[in-house]
Amino acid sequence: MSRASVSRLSLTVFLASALAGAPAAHATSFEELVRRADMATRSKTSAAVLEMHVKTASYQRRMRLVFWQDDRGGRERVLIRILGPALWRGHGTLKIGSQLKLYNPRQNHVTVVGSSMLGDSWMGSHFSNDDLVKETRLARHYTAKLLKKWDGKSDIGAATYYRFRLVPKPTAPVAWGKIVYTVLEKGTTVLPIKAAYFRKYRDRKPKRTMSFTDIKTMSGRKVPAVMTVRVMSKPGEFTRLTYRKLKLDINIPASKFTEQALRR
Amino acid sequence: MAKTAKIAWRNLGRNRRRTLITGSALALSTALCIAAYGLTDGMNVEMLRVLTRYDLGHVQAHHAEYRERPTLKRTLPRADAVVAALRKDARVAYVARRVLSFGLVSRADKSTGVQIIGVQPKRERKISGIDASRVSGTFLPDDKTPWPPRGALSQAEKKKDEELTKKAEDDVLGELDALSGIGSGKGTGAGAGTGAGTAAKRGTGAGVRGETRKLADKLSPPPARPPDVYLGVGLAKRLAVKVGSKLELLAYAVDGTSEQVTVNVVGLYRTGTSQYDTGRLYMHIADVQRLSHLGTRVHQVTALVKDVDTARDVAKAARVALGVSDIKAVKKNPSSAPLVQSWNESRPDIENMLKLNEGSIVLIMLFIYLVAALGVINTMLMSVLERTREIGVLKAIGMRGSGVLRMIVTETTALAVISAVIGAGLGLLLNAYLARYGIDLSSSSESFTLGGVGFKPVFKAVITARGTLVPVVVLTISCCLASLYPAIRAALLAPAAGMREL
Repeated sequence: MSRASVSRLSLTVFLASALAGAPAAHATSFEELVRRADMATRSKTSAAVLEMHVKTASYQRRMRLVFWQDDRGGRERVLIRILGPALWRGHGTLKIGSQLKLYNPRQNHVTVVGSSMLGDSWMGSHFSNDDLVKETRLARHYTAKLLKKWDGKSDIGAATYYRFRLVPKPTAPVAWGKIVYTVLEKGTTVLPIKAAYFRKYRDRKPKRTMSFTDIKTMSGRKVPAVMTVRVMSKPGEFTRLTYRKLKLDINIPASKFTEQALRR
Repeated sequence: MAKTAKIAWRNLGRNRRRTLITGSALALSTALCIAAYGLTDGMNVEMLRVLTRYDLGHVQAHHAEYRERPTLKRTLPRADAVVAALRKDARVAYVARRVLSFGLVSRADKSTGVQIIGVQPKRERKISGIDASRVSGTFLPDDKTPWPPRGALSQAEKKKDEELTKKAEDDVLGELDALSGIGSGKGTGAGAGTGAGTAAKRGTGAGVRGETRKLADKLSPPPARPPDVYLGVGLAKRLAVKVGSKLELLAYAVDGTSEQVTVNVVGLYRTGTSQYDTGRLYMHIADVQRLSHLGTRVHQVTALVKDVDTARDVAKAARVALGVSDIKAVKKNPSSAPLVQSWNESRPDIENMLKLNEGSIVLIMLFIYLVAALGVINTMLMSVLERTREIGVLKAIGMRGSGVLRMIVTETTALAVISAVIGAGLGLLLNAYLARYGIDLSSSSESFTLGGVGFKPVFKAVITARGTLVPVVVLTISCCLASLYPAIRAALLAPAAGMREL
């Protein structure tokens, strides 16, 4: 379960990031840029079909999945279903708030995973549960300082790049001591490019990086269609998510996020 | 000599009350020391037993990095050679392999994380205390669960699988397209669209499911019957299961995937240590290897030796036989060289703790006996003082100083020996009670851990010859020594000075 479902969970992060770049007035402050690259994450609902490619030292695997997310009810609700290949087709993950349920169609059984286990390290995964909660509030929990600003090329033509150093605010309940966050601004579009996560402020090497590439127009917005997560202590390993289809702000019926729907 | 003894014995009877009081103080000291000894020994024996019968064994082999951070990947290199080397050693009683995996066991809406311990039932029964702790059902059967081998998909089946994925994706894409935007009418239009999409998916869903099952069953066939599991009463209570219940087990696999299987509860155990009673699940080693995609790899080889004191030598001999004596080299090359250690080599902290326990009992004994010795000095000084005149007369009629000294020392020794024997009897009674009932702290906590080893919160004493004899002998010796001062004083008494006391 570990890698598959954790990676599934991480989709929230990816999806959130990919939603960045909602049209708005030209950003002025750095905080605003960070918020726009990151906070667009809280789009109300979304649905996506993705390809997930996990590579570790001992194996690699590709899966296709569908991801449903709805934040309208206050608690974040996520349903992920694996579309293939055969061994995992139909497997589902339902996450409501911190409650996680896993469905196995071959056993026709739903395993309820306690929230205490969510907090545990996810064995061998490139993701942790912290990603879900803390990742998405960069502007609120971190102070941004501009390290570098430059003009450069991008998938969508010449753009301005900003590299920020994000330091947690004194009372912020965050796991990282520092994040180096690179965003791209072009016209009204603000997108994340790369995030490097450092355990401690003084660490020289990040623990983990996420890079966002392959900017495409989906659902009327420009989004990075590929996100790659790498853990620095495991060279050569990565988890890569590629969008095949993305729809934003659609009216997902509430019945989608029930155990009956999970078992379907 | 006989005369001295006779006089000494009579002297003891002269002030019976004093003799009785001093004697009972000595007897009680002895009894206390024996009980303290018994309890400490009991704790040490239990600690070693828990450590070596449930976890490590007297001698064990791991991947050199396994114990730092246990992961499925860190399997034991050259496991067969390790087993062979240990079996060859005549000092070794039993050798067994174990697989240590992880999983999530669930029933209805309850689930809990467990350590899955794959064991060779025939050997495990002898090597660990887990079968002896059984409270209901049976232990795991000797044979593994019949389980058809994994297959590969043919080209046609692979193509079919891709088609099924595409079909599932197309269904989802259709469903997505049918959904309207949040703002654009939550009315009948959107509802109907959703309904149609769902219905369409349901129609094809059953077909996809059936085909998928066929492919999945070929890739990873289910077992012929639910594999048996043996678990602790705490876990059984948490999941509300009993012998014969079925559980869902989701086991992590070494390649990062997982396998889910229905398992059958075959028996329950109670070790009294909550760590083991709630957090573990025993299965046949081959079943766990299958679930965790380990092939024939194992994580641990463990051995019990006939005499625990030889553990270190047995481990050393095995290392020499395997050519892995250089621990530094082993740690540098963990994937090809096994780390073979005795329990006290892998847990020097526990060994030190055991030694510390023994040290502390010696210290306690010293204090108790110091007090007893001061009491003896006091008593004998009084006795000598009272008998100044008498001793003066004895010396005047020809008794030598050494005779007086012998007399006083004999007196004290007789008192000490009698008290010690009575004390030993009392101590043994106390120990017998403590060995049987122990000191039960289970109301304050369910179990406690010391150095990462879980214990029952019941301290029980053990009775050993050493634990009984050492306090008796030490008491006698310290009383003899304590009597020397009053005896020397008496011996040096000038006859005339003694007589003058008249």
